Amino acid sequence: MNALLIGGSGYLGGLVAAGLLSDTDKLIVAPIRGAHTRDSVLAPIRTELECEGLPDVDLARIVTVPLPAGDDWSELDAVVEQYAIEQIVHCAGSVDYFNSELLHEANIVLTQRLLELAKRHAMKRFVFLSTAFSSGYIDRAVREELHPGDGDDPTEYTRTKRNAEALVAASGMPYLIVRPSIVIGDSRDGRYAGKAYGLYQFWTAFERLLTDRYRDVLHVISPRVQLQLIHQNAFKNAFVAACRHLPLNSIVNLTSRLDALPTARALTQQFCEKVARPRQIFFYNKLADVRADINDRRMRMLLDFTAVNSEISSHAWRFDNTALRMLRSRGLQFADATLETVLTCQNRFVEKSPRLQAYLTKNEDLFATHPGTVEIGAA
Amino acid sequence: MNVITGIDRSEALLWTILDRFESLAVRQYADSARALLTPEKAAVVTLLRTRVHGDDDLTGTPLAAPIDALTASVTSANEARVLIGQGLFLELIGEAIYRSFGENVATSEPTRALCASGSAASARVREILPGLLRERIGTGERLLQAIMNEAAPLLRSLDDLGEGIDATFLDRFGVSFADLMGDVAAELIAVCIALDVDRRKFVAFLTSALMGM
Repeated sequence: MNALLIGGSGYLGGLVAAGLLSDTDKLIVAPIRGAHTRDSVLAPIRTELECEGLPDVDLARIVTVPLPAGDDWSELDAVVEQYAIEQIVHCAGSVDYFNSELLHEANIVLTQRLLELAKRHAMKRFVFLSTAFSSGYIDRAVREELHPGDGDDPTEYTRTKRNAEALVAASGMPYLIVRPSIVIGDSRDGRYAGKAYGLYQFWTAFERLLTDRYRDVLHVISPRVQLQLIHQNAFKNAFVAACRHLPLNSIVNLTSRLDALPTARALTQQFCEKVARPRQIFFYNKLADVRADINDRRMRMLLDFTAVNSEISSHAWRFDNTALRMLRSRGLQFADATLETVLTCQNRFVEKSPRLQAYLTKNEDLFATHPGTVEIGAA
Repeated sequence: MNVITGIDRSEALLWTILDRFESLAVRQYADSARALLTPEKAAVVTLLRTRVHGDDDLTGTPLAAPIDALTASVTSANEARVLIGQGLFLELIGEAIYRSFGENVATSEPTRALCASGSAASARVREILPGLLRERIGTGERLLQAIMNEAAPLLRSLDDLGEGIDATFLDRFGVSFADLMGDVAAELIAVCIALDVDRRKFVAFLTSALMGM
């Protein structure tokens, strides 16, 4: 099916574009706006295809058109007709945590508009990129079904994603809802073109705040709970496989196997042992446990800045993976995130960071071989 | 041509940057927030104007484009943008700069005098601003949403400023961008909590903005 891809200029949208291009011979029509150009949208897709050893995939099969700027989206009707589009693949949206206006506009209003477009043209399918965390905090495994409207949400982002899923399902359009957990770099070489979310936020915060000098003591919030990560290659492969194999009106949780996933604690320890190299690490489970006598302002900032993500990751998320197991049984190559594969991503991040390289070189003589650890607060 | 005497090139650059900030503040306050146009602010602008004549010391430096972007991001006829972008964020950035250089043994006497005057002006704005924010925009969620809307362009532009600040001032004065932003973040959090903004949400907003997300 020719597809209208919304969000093709984003990180996950670009991966989806590369995956769909290499999996089918169909057209992808990608509306773009703002500072984006055809070249800027195609560049990361081309890079992704080259890294996958697929340099000959015909990028001319991506057609870029202007995204309507205002409320009138009727000009897309002509585009849909012209290119015989039969499905919308909706990968756009805001991942802001608490900006209510932006989240409503980007996650709710945009989805409504696209559903109306799809219905006007009686399209065959509406594919919606959601999040594994759209349930909000629940005490059981997250099922591959719609969640109730009310929820205990870590952020307003999860609430708007849940509400958008409900809109999709209630629209009458045949749908596929794809729910990835936190996407990190490629399991094989660590390449990553996304923003500094999740684990990358901690690495970036360390890079920006704590590379000014060597610290022999580090304080980090890092619970002993598996961090719900999936690699971008696993995401891309699974997204394409879901589009190809799952029946209409399916929901699929894209998460790594729980028994493979490393804990947040193990990942922090790995970063400390390979990069930060302190003599002692104080581990906390939550911000409230952090010692009040830390006078290092940069350390305080790092703790503050990573607190919300630490809080979300301290929840013991569990997921039903029935659909993913079915896709694996049909040949899906899905690399689970492990301590070792995340190290590949960490190494890539460190290699690409001049600040971290300088830190490693400058402080080599001070580094501890094995940092001691101190546990603060209840487990 | 800059006619400052008794200060070195990097201090001349600092004066020029502060002149850009304060001149913009005076223009914007005159147009959209006259309560912030205080005698202290007028005094620091007068001091800067006697010594800085144009952008020569800034032009061509790594800081020129980021400072242009930063000042452009808060330049607005919109009252909320002026109160939040200029009155809250840029004033606190300015105050952090004045504090860092004013208490710095490496700076000259004229620069320390400028920083004392600038600190007093920013502190006066900080006294007046909470009442204005409360009256003109509101508190709590309403203020948080306005901050997210109005400060986002400024915070995006900060991302490009860090390298230039460190390259220009770190070795000579020991002043780093991360330290400045640490001061700014601490003050911002304190001001916003006092106006009933949810701390967790505000810190998450700052994180996404300052960590380059």
